[in-house]
Amino acid sequence: MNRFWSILFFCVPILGVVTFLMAMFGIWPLTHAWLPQSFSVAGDSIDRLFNGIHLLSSVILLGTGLAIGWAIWKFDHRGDDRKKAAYFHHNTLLEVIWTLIPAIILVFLAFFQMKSWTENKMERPVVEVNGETTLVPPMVMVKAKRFGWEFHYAGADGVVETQDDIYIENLLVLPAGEDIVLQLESRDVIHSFFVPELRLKQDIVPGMTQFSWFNSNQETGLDDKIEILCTELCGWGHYKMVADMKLVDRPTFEAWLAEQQSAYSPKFKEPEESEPDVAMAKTEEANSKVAMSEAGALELQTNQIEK
Amino acid sequence: MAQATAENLGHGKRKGNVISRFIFTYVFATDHKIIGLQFLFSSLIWFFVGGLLALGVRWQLAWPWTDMPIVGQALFADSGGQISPEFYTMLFTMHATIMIFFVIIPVLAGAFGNYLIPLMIGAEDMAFPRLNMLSYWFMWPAFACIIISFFMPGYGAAAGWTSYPPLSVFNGDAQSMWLLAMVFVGISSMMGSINYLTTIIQMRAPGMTMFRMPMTIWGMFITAIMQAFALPVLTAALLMQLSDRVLHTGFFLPENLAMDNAVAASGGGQVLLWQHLFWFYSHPAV
Repeated sequence: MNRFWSILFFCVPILGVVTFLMAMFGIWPLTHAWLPQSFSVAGDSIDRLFNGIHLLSSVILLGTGLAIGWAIWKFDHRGDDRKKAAYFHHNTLLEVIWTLIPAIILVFLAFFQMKSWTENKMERPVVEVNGETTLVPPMVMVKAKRFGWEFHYAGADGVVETQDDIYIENLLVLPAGEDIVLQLESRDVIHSFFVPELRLKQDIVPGMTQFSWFNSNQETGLDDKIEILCTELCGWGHYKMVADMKLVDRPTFEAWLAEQQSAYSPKFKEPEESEPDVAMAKTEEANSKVAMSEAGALELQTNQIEK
Repeated sequence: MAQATAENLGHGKRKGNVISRFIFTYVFATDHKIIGLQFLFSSLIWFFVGGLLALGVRWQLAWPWTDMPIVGQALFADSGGQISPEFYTMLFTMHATIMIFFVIIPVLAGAFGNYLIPLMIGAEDMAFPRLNMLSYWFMWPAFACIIISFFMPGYGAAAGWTSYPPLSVFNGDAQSMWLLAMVFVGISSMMGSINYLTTIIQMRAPGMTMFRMPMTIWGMFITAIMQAFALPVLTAALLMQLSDRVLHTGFFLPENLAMDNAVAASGGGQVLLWQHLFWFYSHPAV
């Protein structure tokens, strides 16, 4: 019993780190205790960050925990040598060391995460159209509402928020292997768009328009699905604000979308085969929409109400 | 000077009969230890209430959509003895609110701060004993408001402890009482923090330099600085949200906002403004 506290202080960091490593490497019985399988290109860099920070923390936890355990073991007054612990008022060198090390780690992390953050939240993917580089236009406008998800697919014109949008609730089917941009808006309160498998999370604030993007490197197929969750408390039904997401190859996606067009939009007309020039003009129209400022988004809302 | 005041108020023998002596010693106390204990014991009562709410949350998580034994039929007659989603939302909101604003803050600052600061820096009492008393008694309107909120439409605030608009603005009237309660807690903490700052800076015993102060006092000193400078921001934001709800101003409501077939009376505000103002205090605090 004499050594109870020192043993406890030895056990906590060791057991903690062992549990963490078992979960991270999927060792039984913690086979599915860590993150779900990544479905996106960004997932690799985000997971590397997540695991790297955990590994760093576990080194620190082991270091400090074992140091405390060792001190308690060594200076246990009921021990055999019955030495009295020495009293330090302070030790400048020691204090500088334990201030500098965390500072260095924090600065390192600040730079280490920069690339991933920029790629996933700041630099929206671009596309080459006739030699000109433009931002990828949103493929789907996501409207979050209490307690469900509306998905407005850009119709034949390739622009969201127009008459030929295809409207679907709580099911988002998207092609894998391409840069997908979503335009996120809320109908009422704050929601948050979260797809754990894509490592994608974005708050949706009423009165603002946000864009989120990802590039999935895996397919679920039409028979399987991943889930879109709301992760910002939006009222009593927050728990059930879930939608299905399916990632498929391009032909399957196009076939599926055509099916939805006929099913949901009876007035939809097949567009005439358009000349490249016309297509170009449309892309430009799309881009001008994309470049719209917040004030523009407000105007858009008003337009919609008029419609 | 301050010490002399403290003696007159707290430590001197009080005249009058037993009842008035009891009231002025233990109820309207100006003695730092008594006030510390007052904070401690009222927080412990709220600790119990917050714990009961947490039990409700845990019950629902452990056995979702099941009748709650013994008290279920009495509490949730409408939903057949089960916790409804609305009630669950209220439970975790009120649990968090009570644990943070009525337990952690009053215990750490109010109870330990009042009890320990004068003892650990060798002061006779706090610098402002009457302000100290006021800071405790401003907790009581907060207690009253939060109790009343349980009986107003909505039956307890249900927008999370962060009370994000627009959700909080569309909530039942209970949310207004919640905001009012938080305003009172804020005022109480601000008064306390001024007191701690003045006491720590001005009333240290001879030889107790700032860098000889115990770490505990340094911790409380830094907390008090945060409370004195960041809490007014939160308190102002709370009043702004209250006016969004009651006076239909539009600080935190965007244009053209509609929810559950109701349109907001006002707009033109910025939803994120609340989050900036709220976390200005709450981030350093938590």
